[in-house]
Amino acid sequence: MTHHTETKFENPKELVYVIDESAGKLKTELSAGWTPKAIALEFTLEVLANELEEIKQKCLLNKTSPIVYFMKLNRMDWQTLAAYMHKSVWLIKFHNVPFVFKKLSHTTIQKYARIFKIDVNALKCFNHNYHGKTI
Amino acid sequence: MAKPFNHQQTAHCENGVVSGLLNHAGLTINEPLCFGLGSGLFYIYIPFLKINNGPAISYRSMPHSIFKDLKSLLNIKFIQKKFKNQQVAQQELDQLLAQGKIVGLQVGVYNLPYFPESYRFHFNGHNLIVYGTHNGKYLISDPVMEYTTELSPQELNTVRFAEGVFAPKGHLFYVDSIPQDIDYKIAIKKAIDKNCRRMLIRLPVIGVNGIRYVSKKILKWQNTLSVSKLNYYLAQMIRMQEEIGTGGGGFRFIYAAFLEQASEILSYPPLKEEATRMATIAEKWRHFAVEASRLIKNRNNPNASYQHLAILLSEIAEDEKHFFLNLKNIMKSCP
Repeated sequence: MTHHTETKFENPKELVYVIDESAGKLKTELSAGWTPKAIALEFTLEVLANELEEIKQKCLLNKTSPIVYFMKLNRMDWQTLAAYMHKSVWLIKFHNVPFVFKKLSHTTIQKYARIFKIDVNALKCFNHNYHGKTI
Repeated sequence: MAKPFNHQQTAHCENGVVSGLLNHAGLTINEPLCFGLGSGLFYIYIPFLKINNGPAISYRSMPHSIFKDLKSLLNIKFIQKKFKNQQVAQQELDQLLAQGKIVGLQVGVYNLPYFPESYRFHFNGHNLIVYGTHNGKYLISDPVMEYTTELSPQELNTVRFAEGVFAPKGHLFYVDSIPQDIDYKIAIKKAIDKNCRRMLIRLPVIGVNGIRYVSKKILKWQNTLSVSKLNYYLAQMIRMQEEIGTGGGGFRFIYAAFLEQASEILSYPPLKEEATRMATIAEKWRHFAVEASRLIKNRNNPNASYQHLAILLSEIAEDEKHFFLNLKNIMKSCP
């Protein structure tokens, strides 16, 4: 058995079932990927990146709070974020309204920052220089 | 001295973990058999629910239902636990490992460090096996990975206590006892029957009807949604279909492999023919993914038509309907 200590595989090989023409049976094979799947994934990531850029502009214009930006950056939706916060969805959406966000307590902001794995200041003083890494 | 653990890569995590745990406990059972006996093949479109802002479609039964069906069918005893407290969950895991047990865990995918970034979405139905510790790290056998990996206690706690839909809450499970004699013949018959009933259920969004429903839905989307949104929906469908270790085409191939084995165990040749038919249907699913991805790739083409995708899907629905009706019939005359 091969044991790898390095923790990241950029292109893991997947096991797939294919038809073995010669034997007329199914067999397993390792696959390095499949184009249709790659296209779908690439397109999804592209859509997410565009969406993120739009939200960033909205944040800078103070039309929404940075919560939604970091939520999207972490690939979350309202439901997931609410579950991590142990709060209801409407309350999280309420927190996201800019003037409510400005009045949030330090503890609440800290809780958000911990979930997003960022510094409190990144949430408090959001600016256009912020290039967050997704993971 | 504990028995050394053999890592084995499978196409799907749940089959892999269940068959890994059982193989280690001395019951030889491979992935297709796990999948088939767990009646894993399914199709469901959940209306009104959006996952990552796209349609919610699943090509197999609910997470952990393969596990549940298999254990009740073969009368295998598993011990399962969920936790509220992270420390308690870790202590319990440490104790079990110290006793030389190997333990299956339900985890969230998003924070798994060894997954490539592009695969990491908030999905909590993933499974893996912990088979020991080494230098303060947990030795992980993730069945969809080619190799075994390691996770630090902190990393493992994060993924075990991921939040959201299907939150794992530290869910762990291990084999307690396996019955002496297992009658595979009866089990296979029951499992196939259950799967047929599930796929042919008379509800609009489940099973064969679900596939037909989505094919009609594509035509509706074409008129009501913007092209970019529709493409995003299609991308989501392909990803749900062919995502790492899961997949519509993929699952259908696994089911075909199961039918092949079933025909050998029952020594009933008609099942072998059914296996070939299922493999053909699986090919059609893959063809659907190819066509859909082509539309996504040429998304700037104004004359793109989604009509033939809908037709492809309704053909698949028709094929699967005949397949399962036929399968049900031939199982009646099975000795």
